[in-house]
Amino acid sequence: MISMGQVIRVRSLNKTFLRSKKQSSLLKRLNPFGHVQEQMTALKSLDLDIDKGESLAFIGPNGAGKSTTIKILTGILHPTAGEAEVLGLVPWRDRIQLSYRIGSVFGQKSQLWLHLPATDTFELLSRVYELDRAKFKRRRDELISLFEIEEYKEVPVRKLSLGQRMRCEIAASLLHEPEILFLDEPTIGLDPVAKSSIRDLIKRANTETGVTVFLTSHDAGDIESLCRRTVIINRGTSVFDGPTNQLRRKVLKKKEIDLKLRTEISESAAKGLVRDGVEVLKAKGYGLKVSVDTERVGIDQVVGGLLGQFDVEDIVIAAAPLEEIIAAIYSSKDATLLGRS
Amino acid sequence: MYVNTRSMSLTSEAIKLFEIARITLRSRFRYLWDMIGSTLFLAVVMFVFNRLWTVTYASSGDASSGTAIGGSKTLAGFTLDQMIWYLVATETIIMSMTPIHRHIEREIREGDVAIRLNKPYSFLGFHWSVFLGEGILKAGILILVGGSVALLMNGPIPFQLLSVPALFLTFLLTATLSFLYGSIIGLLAFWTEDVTGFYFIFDRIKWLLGGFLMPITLFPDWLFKIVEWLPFSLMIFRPASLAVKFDWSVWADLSIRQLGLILVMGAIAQGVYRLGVRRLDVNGG
Repeated sequence: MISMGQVIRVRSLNKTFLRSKKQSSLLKRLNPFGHVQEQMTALKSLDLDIDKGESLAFIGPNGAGKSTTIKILTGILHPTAGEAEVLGLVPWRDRIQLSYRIGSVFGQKSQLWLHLPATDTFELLSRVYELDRAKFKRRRDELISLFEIEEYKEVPVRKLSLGQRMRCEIAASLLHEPEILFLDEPTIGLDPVAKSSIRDLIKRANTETGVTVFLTSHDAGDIESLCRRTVIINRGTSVFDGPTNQLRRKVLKKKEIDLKLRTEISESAAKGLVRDGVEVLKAKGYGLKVSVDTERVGIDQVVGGLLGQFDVEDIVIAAAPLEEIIAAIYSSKDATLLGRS
Repeated sequence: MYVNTRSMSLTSEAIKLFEIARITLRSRFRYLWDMIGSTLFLAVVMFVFNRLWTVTYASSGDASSGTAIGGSKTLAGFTLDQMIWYLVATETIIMSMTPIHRHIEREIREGDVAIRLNKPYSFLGFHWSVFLGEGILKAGILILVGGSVALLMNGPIPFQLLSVPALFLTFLLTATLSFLYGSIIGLLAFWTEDVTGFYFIFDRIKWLLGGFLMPITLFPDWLFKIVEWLPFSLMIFRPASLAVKFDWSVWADLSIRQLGLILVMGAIAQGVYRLGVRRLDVNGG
């Protein structure tokens, strides 16, 4: 049973697909009765709880089960086993009822009518969602202003840039004031400026309207800028569930210290820096870059030592980019990487 | 949330379907000249069949195959002019129908079905509205092009203006039958992904036994008796004959038969959809 303040509750969700297995011999391939099917596991005992107003990044490598989860939670797919409740409804059973209360954007699929202006789709959606006319018009105008689509609202969708189209897609999905917004790779294919602007709009929708955001993306920038919480799914099961900023702390054991010195560094001085947990990445001219394994040596000790030993003009201590961290998690089979026993 | 009503009332559903058909019409209207261009081939078809039927009518003067009514020779119950206008009607019926099986198959195969299924309308209802919206526009163009050619080559046939609304209703029922026929095949994509082969066979059966290129009354007696009871004549022959020889009692009888068949085929389509959607494997998921 879903609790107060909770919008999504998932327990032991499983989904398996049957796929035709490619036959090795031509004879077997030509035999119409010789098709062999194999079972593919998309989701395996997935548990998930999401509270109202949260912004959650649901990430994982290709084939991890992200889109399958979104499609089950929006009622498009039926699970093989397990339970799921979205806003107190069972998505695959109460699909129509649920569709009035959720919005979704699939980055690679468009809900807009290609040959007509986006406002025509808005008009259609107002009928589809049975919206009150006066309130719809007010909401439409608000979204047109918020998403800054005034200047191209009458241009056929096919003539819009990808970024402009995505603004219209998200505005369309917010017309009926959904309680949850499912975003499946909303920034895919966008240039950095358009990405940043779409992120800003989603963030504003989350903070200003209180809509719960459920985002899947391969873009670390989306996750960092939009989501306070991240769930990482791999091979159909959750391998990390926690604050996005904790991802770094949990996973990143190495930090890089980049120094700009006032005097040239000698080879012997650089060699002298090497010790357990400290590795010299670059030592040339006035530049010095060292890597520190924070599990073996405290970052404060290393920084203190460097500042005492060298005349430092500038210092930068950097964590690895989130993308690298996520890639490390995807490729890791070691559960301890995530602090799990 | 400010949704007026959540009830899936017939009125609200009808409004949604009407709006979907309307936006389809508007969307396709932007390509009106392309559509007109693509129907010009109909003029060639009409010309060829005009020549063929003229020769056939000229050579079949015996009492068994042709009789004289009002000074015009008839074949299988049609005068030459009626036969040409019958062709306009069948071409309009067939060519105005979009390949719905292909649309549904593509949506299922490419995962676009996700966009349809997360909206508060029926999947089949959405496609039906799109089908009708597009069909009405195409039919209008086909009647214009085909009718102009028939008018130039053979002249007009007696036509009651009052029958226009009735014939429009018959067109909607006929289109609905074609939609259900194509969508049942398209929905098989839930199992097989590629339904083109199935559709090709079933579509040609419909053409042949439905009376697309010639009225089924021209078939031998034994075949006519069988074909008359098959559903295909309700999709082509009967509505096309009604268009050239309008009669209110025939219209009422045809409407009842078509409605009955729509109920049966609608139930089959809904059943296939419900079974299929449970085993949906959306690509990319």
